[in-house]
Amino acid sequence: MGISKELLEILVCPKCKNEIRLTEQEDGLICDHCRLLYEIKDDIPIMLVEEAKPVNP
Amino acid sequence: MSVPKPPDPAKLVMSVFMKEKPLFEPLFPLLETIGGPVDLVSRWLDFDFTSYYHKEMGHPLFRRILAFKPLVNQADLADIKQATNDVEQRFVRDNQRRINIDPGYLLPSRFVLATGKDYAHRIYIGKHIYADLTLMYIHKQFVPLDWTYPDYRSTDILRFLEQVRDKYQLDLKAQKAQTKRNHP
Repeated sequence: MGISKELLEILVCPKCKNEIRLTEQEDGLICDHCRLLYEIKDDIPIMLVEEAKPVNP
Repeated sequence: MSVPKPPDPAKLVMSVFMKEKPLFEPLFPLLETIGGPVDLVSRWLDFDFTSYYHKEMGHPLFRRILAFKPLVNQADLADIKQATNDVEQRFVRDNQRRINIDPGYLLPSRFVLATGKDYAHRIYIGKHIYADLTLMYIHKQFVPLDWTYPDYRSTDILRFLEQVRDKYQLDLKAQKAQTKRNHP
């Protein structure tokens, strides 16, 4: 099913509160400002800073 | 006779609105002190459904909705409302509130807000606080009631709360599995 565009438009990064974007594989959300990846599990984004993974530049 | 049993823990949600967006930065850690780590945050949403707050808080007003990772006891809602009232007080200037915080909780079947204002459809939950059944979850979506404020009828908020509900269901399942492991 995947994450909806509507939801993506309303969510922000819990750390910096800036916009986030979907990864190409649609398996996570990236905050370009914090360089953090929030994984999507069972169509639900895990938006916890401590569980986010760093994104390599 | 029905056998009383403990209620499910609930997902804590808070709506905050203000005129001065920079106030959100010092506010955020104070809210995490009350509810624990935040796991879903909305972007800024226009709070333009009523002019009720304009005299006190100015306008335009902007809102964010936050959901917290740790699940809470439903019976703690009045305490949580008192704690958020204390936080509101910290930001008061010239006897005027600059931040409004509305805590509530979400369950699979409903969304309940805490309020200090009495009304026919609200149930007293102690400590001068009332519970307002704001939305019911029916046929796979949140549905407003006759008394639901217009802002809680908006698509943005309904979609956000549906996502919070999905996350909550996942957390509740994990918590129940953990309890079963600890107390087989």
